Amino acid sequence: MNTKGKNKSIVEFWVGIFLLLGIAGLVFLAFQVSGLTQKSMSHGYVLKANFDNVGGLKVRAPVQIAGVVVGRVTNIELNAQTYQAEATLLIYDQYTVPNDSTASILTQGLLGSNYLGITPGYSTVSYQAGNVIQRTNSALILEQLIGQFLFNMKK
Amino acid sequence: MSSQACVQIKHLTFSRGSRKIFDDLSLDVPRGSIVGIMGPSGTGKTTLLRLISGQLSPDQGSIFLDDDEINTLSRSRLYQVRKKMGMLFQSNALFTNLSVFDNIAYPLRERADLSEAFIRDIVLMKLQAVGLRGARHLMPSDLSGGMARRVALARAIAMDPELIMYDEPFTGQDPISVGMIVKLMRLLNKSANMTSIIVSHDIEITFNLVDYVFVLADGKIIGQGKPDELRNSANAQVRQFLNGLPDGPVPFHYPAKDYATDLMGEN
Amino acid sequence: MLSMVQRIQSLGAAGIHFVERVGEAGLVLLGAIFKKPNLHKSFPLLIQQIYMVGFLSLPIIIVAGSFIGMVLALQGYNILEKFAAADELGPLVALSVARELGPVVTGLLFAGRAGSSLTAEIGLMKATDQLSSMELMAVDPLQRVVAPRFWAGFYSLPLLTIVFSMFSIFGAYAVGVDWIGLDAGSFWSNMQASVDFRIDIVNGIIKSIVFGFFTTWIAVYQGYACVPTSEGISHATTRTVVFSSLVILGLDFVLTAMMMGGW
Repeated sequence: MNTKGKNKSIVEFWVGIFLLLGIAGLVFLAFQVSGLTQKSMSHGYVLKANFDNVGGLKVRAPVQIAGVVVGRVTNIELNAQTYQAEATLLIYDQYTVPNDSTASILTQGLLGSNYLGITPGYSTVSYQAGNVIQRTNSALILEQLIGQFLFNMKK
Repeated sequence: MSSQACVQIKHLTFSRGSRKIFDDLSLDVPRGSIVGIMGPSGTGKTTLLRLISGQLSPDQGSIFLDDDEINTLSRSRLYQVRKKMGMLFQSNALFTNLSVFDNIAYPLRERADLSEAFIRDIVLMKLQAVGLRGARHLMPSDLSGGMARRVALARAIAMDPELIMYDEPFTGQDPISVGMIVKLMRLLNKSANMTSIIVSHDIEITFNLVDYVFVLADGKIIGQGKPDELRNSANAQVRQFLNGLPDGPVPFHYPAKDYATDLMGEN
Repeated sequence: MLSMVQRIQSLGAAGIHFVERVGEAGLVLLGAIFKKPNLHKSFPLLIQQIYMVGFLSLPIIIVAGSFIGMVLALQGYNILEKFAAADELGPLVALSVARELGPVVTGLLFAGRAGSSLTAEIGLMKATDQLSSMELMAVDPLQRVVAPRFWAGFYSLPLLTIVFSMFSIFGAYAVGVDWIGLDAGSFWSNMQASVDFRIDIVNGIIKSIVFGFFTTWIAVYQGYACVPTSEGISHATTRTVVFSSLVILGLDFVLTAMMMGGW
């Protein structure tokens, strides 16, 4: 009977190690690999912005001010009245957006994906939850750019 | 000793797939007796034990253990009734991951609310009865065939059952082990008054041991009686079986065409 | 020399046979998991099984994970370098492993190692009448033998997948940063920027939970229902590995499609 007791505690020890290894792995994956931070787990408020063309902007694209991620794009829809693209943004609670800021759709690097950059204005009043950002710059469409270039060349 | 039968089988019919294994079979096992069930291989002797223990259900007919009709019992009631039965399997069926001691203690720990100290006493007593008290800490893989069988027997009687069933207990054992097993079987039957059913095809040993024999073939009883009576039986099939004749009602040649034509022919 | 009709008949019969087997497997599973367990007796059995099934699989998982991470880094760097995008090596490995390779490869290795051993063990217990003798002692083999093994596999596979992913990334780091010489800082920061915990890591773990459920179910059922001869056990073991692998790959596709559709 004694040998069975000792054997049992050895088994329990290794199972415990196994479980701890799994938890350690999960912690590693959460923080070191996916960059889960206190900030990104916090809540935020909703702002909207309308664009003539959202280009390649996708849902879950980052929203950045001065290159720092302050939120995410949560929805992109077509507004049936104005025929503009309406993007819904989730801005994390700790950031404020002055109410004369401009929202532009920019590209990460040369071949990167689109993100939404907010260039802050100088106003001391900030947008509240549910507000619509007034000033927007649509995405640059390559074909339009080339067309403009050729047109200017001809001149 | 009451005259009521311990096990009663009435009009048992059982088929596996399209093969009829038992056809309207009836037999009684008197309480406290030691009975042999014999027959050529494949007659379903092991199946009969499984039917008695309730692991299989008959297509028709009933099986009684004392007053309980085994095939109609609910699962929980069946588990209760099984306390009265012990079975020694052909393969011993020892739990390979447990020691000899734990194997025998297993049914006690599962079925009875006993303290560990009491269980220890019972296990040691059973081990003493089979002569293996010194081997209690060995693992099944350390045991010889004969020892393993005795451990399995000790486990089968751990709960002091009324009925004990032996499935081919002598097969593949050396003469000394067989002698030990026979001694134990006699002891259990006479001293502990356990009704014993032995399924075997070893005629010499079984006939010397049992009070009564049933010979089965083709799903029916072809002969029954005390061992001496059967030796003088008129039934040709029984004689072939008992005398070990290579040819008779069970033919030597598998059915085939004429030999000369086969040799001369093509396929 | 079968006629067309006979061929179709045998196909139909095979189909019915398959459905019957699935039904039987379902009943075995229900019998094993939907009964009130005797915690005092079953818990030690569960721990024992987690050790056998989970912990003892760690060596192969760690080795496989490390090598896959290293190979991914090597091959990935080879191609990314052409686009001057070698800095994206971290995200490449992390995303491939977390979303796909982690759950799938761990599942396949698990099916091969732990699944086949579960099937063989239960099959052997059936062939040597150990399960029968348990029944005769009024111990339910589904609860005592099948259930602990099922839960052990179910709990172990997600843990093993996490360990696999972790070691893959270590392997990729070793090759990318220590050997090739990429910058450690951008390796991690690019990875953190591209990998989303909920979408990538958690979805990968959900996949491994689903794989664990099905793989262990198949392994345990095949052992329990096998023909109790040595030939039967070997066939059952083969079936476990083959069916588990197919189910993993098939479910991977289904789950990936569901997850990409905005889960």
